[in-house]
Amino acid sequence: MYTNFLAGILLVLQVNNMVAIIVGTILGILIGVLPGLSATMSVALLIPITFKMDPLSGLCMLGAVYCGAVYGGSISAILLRTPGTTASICTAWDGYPLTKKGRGGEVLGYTAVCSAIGGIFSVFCLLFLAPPLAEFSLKFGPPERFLLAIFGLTIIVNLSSGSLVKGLISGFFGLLLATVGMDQGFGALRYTFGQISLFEGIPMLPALIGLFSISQAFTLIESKSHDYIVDDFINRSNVKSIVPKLNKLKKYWKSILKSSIIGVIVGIIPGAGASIASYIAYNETKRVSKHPEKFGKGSMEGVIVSETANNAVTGGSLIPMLTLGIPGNAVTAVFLGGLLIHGLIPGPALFTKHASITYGLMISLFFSNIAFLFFGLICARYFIKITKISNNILVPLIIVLSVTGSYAMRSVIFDMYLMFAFGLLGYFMEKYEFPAAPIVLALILGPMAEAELSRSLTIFRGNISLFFIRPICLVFIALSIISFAIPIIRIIKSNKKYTS
Amino acid sequence: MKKLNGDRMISLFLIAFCGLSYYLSFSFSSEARSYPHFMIFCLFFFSLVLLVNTFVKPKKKEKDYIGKGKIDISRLLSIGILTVIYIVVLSKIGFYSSTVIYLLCAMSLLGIKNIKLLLFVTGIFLLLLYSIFNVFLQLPKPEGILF
Repeated sequence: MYTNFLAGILLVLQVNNMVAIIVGTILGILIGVLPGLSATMSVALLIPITFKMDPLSGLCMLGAVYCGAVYGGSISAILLRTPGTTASICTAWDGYPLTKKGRGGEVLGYTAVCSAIGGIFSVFCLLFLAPPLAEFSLKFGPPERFLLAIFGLTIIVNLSSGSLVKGLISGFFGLLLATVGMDQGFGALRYTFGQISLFEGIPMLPALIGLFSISQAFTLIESKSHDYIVDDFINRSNVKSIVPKLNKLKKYWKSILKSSIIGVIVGIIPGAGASIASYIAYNETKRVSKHPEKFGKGSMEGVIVSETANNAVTGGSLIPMLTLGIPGNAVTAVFLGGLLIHGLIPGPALFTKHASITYGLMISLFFSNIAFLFFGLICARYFIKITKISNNILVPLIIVLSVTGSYAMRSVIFDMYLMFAFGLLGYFMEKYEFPAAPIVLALILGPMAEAELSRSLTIFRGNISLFFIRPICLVFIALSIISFAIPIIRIIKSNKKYTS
Repeated sequence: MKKLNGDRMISLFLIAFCGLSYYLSFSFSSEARSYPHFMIFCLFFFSLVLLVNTFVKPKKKEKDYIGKGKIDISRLLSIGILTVIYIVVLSKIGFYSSTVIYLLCAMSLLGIKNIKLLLFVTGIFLLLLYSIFNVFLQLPKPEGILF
């Protein structure tokens, strides 16, 4: 392993591979910033470009695009409350309020550093813990994935900081919307009204773009006043002011470590992506925080844990893909295609016959994280200038990007109408204080929960006791109960305190 | 009071929505409708709770509405209608042509009167869009009779 590790480093340090990493990182960030263009799409779009490249250069570029895109989604989430990717939804909740308070530059600095920490942590896990973690991922079957989805859905309770009832209404409304389309167990069409575009269900991206980008666009133009505090970082000329000070960053070390671990673990679970990691890390941090009321209103810790977790998924998701050929998420499923195109078959041969390429790929992810950290910090003072642009110019641009982004995935006009409808829904939900986040969570996890439940009951012939005898299932049941109960107890206590 | 009325209306709407969804679900097979039924019942239950809460004397102090100034309905309506027209027209006229018209109209409606600024922003943005979507990513766009 040591020899392969050294060989990998030497290969990655070659000029062509370093150029591929830098170009890939920049492209990934640019794509991630744009709403509707996900990390999955960015990797898929670049695979043809890597055909003619050397295998390692091509894979380095794909890995760099993946890391860059996950990080890039945070920039628009923080500055415009329009998450570039689903993985940055939680970032938007606290990042945008901080931008409105004039701390946008500071948040971008923390985001770049913590995303890099999460990403680098996952690279070390990938390098040194791949085989045992891959074995762990094999223990996840349909019952475990079903309960992971349920655990994820209990986060709805924590997201309902204003009114628990309204949060639960949003959640169940989202779960009902998630039943639209073809039922995965029996193949029946539900609530499609003959619309072919709905056969696969309500597409995630147009719903996300509508609920966050379009509703935010309407909020920005509803009155003529511009309520941003111009960030004083714009007026400083050096990067030092954006880089978070070590003594301030050290305050969050426990949260950063916990989020990194959550990101890696969620990453190795097949079918669970960066958005789920981000939600779980956010929820867990808020649950144990001494000031949970600050989350959702401008908590730097909320931004940090979300971004650390979603970037920690990058390395974690490659573990089952490289060792077992099982993609950790949609991005690595596409990545697998990239591997196969270059004649690399996942499994033991990847770590023996093609060891130098494999280790080179893993090490290249380390450099990708350094690259986006560097670009993120240098460019933060330019990104923040977006907040100086008048809403009257910004809003039409956001709307055009949203329309383009919602069309890009499936090339279906219907998706644009859907996006607009969700935009109206999101706008009115905000006005009447219904949280929109539970709908997004439900659209992501609802189909997964139903499909895995159906599979579990089919495989185990309707025997529901299986959920109570498998160890990992019991862990998720316990976590779900804790995740559900603690915020409710907190709400009841605060209500009692108010009335007494 | 206004907020309570809003909550009341929404809860009634949701209860009606649950009823409609339940009725429509009988067109599915019995196995396929059990999961949606569970969600419908939960949604119905919590909507009922919300409705009841609007009649019970509020125990919690109403949060002050975090307003950003008076809402200008005409701005919202004009941009909303323009956006719908833009989406409808995209596949008829073509992506870039309709985007140029949309950007110019939308920014003018929102109060940007400087023609040079309008043209500059539209031009730069379109160039960026073309570079990213056509040149780098080669993403498909709606085709129409014009560009």
